[in-house]
Amino acid sequence: MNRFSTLTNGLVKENPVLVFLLGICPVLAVSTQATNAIGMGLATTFVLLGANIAISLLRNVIPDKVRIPCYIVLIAGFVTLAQMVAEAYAYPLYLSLGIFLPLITTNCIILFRAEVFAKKNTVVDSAIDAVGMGAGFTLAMLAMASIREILGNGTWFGIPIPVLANDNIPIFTMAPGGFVVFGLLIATMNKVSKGRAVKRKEFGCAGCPSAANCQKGGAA
Amino acid sequence: MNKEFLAPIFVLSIICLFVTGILSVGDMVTRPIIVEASNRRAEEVRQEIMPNAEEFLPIRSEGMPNTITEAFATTNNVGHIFIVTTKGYGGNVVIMCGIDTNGKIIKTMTLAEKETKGISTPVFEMESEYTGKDKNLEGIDAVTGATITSNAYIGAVRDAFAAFEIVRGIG
Amino acid sequence: MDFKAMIVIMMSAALVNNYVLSQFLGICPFLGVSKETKSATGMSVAVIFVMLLSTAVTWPIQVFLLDRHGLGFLQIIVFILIIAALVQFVEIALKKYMPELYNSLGVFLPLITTNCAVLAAVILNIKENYTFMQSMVNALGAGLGFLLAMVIFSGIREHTENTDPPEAFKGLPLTMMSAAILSLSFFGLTGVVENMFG
Repeated sequence: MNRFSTLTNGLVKENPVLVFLLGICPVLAVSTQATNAIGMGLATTFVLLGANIAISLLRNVIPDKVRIPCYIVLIAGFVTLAQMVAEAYAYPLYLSLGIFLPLITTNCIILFRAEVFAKKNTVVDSAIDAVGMGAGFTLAMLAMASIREILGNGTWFGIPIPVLANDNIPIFTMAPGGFVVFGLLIATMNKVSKGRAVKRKEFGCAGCPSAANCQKGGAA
Repeated sequence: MNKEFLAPIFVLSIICLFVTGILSVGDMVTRPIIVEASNRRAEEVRQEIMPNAEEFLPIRSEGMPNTITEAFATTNNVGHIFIVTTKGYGGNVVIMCGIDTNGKIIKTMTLAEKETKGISTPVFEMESEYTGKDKNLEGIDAVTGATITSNAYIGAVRDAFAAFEIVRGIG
Repeated sequence: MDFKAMIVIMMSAALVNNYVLSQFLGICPFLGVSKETKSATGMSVAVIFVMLLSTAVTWPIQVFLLDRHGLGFLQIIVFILIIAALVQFVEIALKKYMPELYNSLGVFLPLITTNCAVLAAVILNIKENYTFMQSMVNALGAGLGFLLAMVIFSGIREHTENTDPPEAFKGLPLTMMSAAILSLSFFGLTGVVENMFG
């Protein structure tokens, strides 16, 4: 697989959120405003990048038995770093992400890419993959956030939109609205890709290919 | 059997130590910045409540109700500021209450709350009504349908007055 | 013991600020597991158990170890490792003493480690400055709320199995729409807890 396709893979064809249905929690929760979506996307990409590079660097060193705990420690380390940096240098972002900043630790996408890609590829390739997947994640978040902010608040990135600003529908920025918009987004993806997008019958973390291996110590 | 576990545990431990080391460095670098920014923000809020104050001096809060988390006097005797934390409905309700030397509220301001949007919002929107009131809080009623939040807020203000009495009693 | 406060915390975590339907926590397993009520219930009980155990372990560690030695920045790493270890422990215990439940849960049991609801619960305990008892009650409420959402939802999904939606909506989109309606219905519970104590 050449480098370019590694990069663009995560954007559409293997978009972690819209195709593999991973990392849905933050997509639903942090997509009330477009600015938050970008912030969350950046933070997650940072962690993805760090984790992929670290895991790829250590791929011949980490024994199979303890690989999941090792990955978890590395991922949690990068999340903590991201949190420190955000709290010190980007306080408004830190506030707006709230609990979802530390929760990047449990974002299935990161563990998924570690297991499926970083563990078996070179550092450079893994880095590129991380950027691509992070971009895909951010894209999905941005799409959700734009719809929800425009319809629910009448603004986009905080800028009021002429006609909609006065007639916004607040429910879109609330929980039910999140579910509805996401459902419609996936339905659209299905329609547009004529069913090719849904590769598996199961979804969510359960259908994650590495689910059978996603256990501490590899115990069965 | 034991040998099988030795190497993996060793690698895991090394990684843990290494990550902890990196994070300690990160913490050392960012902690001062975070603390300084936090102090600056707190000072700005205090200025907003009492723009006429020259300088704020923290005072000890022994003897005050234990909901008072911080208390400040002013160097030019404009009044006192009390930061009160009460239990609301969704979490803590933290308010800052500025009381002048005559025992009248200068301003109250909400610092933190996790109450139910919509239902509890009127409680915080009526903040301006507290200005000028003394400890009898005439005209301040609980908001219908937001009992817990209202009681948290009113209780906090009452505690601020209690603290004020104590401060006035001393000096 | 402020029982009133504890009940408010528990009802709030379970109903009004339901972890799944209103805070968007624990969605992945929510969508993957809840096809049949029995496995949904089993999974949720396991989650409640892990949440309670994790709180019981993480709270003292935060207060007596991390905070005392200025190691607060290790919170995320320590907490997630504790959760992972506890899940492993629960897995071993179930395999030995309740093998049928173990088999029916299958791959979802180890996935509780990456269930954001569990990590969120233990971190929120600390963020909200809850005492030990308040933290346990919060964890219980969060878990019960998760159980409630899962069970109601698996019931809905069992029914929708027999429907015939448009092709594009089959599977996840339909689930999302149902979740939206369920979430909306939980809004109605807001006034109940606010005014429970008059």
